Amino acid sequence: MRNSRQSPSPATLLGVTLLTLLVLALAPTRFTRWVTSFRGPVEVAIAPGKVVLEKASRVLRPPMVAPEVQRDERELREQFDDLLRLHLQAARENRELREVIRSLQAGTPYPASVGARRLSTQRQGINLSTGLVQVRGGSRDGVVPGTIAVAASSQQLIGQVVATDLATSSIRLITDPRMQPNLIGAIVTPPIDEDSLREPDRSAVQVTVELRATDDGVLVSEPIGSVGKPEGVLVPGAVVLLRDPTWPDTAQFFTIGLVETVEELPRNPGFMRLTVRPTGPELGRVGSMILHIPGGDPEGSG
Amino acid sequence: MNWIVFTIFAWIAMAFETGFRDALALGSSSISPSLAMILVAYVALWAPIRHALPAAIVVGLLLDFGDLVRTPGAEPVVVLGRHAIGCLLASYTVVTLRGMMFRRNVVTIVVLAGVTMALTQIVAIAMLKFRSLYDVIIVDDAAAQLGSQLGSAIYTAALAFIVGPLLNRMKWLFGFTGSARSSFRMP
Repeated sequence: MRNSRQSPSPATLLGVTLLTLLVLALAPTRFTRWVTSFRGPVEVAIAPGKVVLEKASRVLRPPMVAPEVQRDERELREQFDDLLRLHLQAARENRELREVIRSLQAGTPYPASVGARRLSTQRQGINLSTGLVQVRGGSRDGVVPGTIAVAASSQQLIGQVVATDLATSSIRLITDPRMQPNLIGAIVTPPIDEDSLREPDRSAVQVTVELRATDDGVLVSEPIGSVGKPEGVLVPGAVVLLRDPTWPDTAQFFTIGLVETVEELPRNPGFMRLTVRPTGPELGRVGSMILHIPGGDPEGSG
Repeated sequence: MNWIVFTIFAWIAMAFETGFRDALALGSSSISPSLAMILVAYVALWAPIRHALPAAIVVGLLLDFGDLVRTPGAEPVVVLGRHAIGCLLASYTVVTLRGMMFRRNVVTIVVLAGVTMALTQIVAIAMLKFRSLYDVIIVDDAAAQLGSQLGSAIYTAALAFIVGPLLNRMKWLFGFTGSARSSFRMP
């Protein structure tokens, strides 16, 4: 007679395991979403070895930096970018404040203020299959999905946090075609040159465009009609800034990149297409970043 | 097989996957080698089948946890099981093939590491694509992913030229005696 307490055979165990794995792999996400919560502990278990290898990785393949000879010019350009962004942001705030005053005069309740906390962080690596860049700082640091990442040494927008673990966050790059929504609203302002320093009002001239990321690390615009557009704006070297209501307030007016090419569309006479390339090194390899966490104390820093 | 030693090596392999793999990527492509796949191939080459298959499942599960999949809500999710099943199939294939191979020859681990990576990724991507037909997960261009992963399989095989002989020297650590009979032996 067979013993009912006999342990199952290895073949039975293997069969049951295989069946369980098949169910987990093929069941719809609404039934298996709970599995994702175990990722945190697994990451924590691997973290010590991962940190050491990341340091070795940075030594072997350091984050790309612009050549030293261009440093002065680059620093000046970054300072100008900062000032331009501050100017545009101040102008926007001024306009919004006027609207708030008008609303208050009309008896509308004052809306809750939206601040942002800044947290310095370092790139940890990139998930090659999802294209997500992993950075230090996670939910325990207050990072939430929707937080934006900006290069620490410039105003270059890197991307947006789409997921957080306890100690790390995953960033979707603005140059990733998988970014949702995949159309990014932006404004194009004239190139930063000697003329723009002599004529500060020139930077207020802007053209609104919609950009779409491609697989080549650049963004291309939807066709733009050239009729009625101000001169000297839609040209190579023009500065492209984010202006998109679907992005958080903290992201507005950060730099998306510079116009690389302006292409006439032969099939659509009178229309053109811009190619925009982010400034500085390839976004996926930027080492130091600042996370702008929405809803925090604007004065806070990491 | 000594499971403690295997756990340590699996831990190192996973740290490599998440912390170092992109440093070895070819240019800005996603073609990069996988140390975990070499470990799966190595264990399948030397361990008894009752140890080789569970070990492959363990490595596969760890890979599943490290690989997020996109959803429309922008919050990535873990799809558990696809790499585990892929590793299981690959490990079983190696166990079946090992009887016909010179296991001590470095070329064997090189070829089998590439085969292991390719089989695992084919199964993992196919399952993901199949699930995306009826689930909310988003799979972008499975063919491109497959091409990239097959490129990674060749790169993994190349890395096995270096890692394979090192692992072969550590057989005693794993407790592999090498006594499992091969039906294809030199006289």
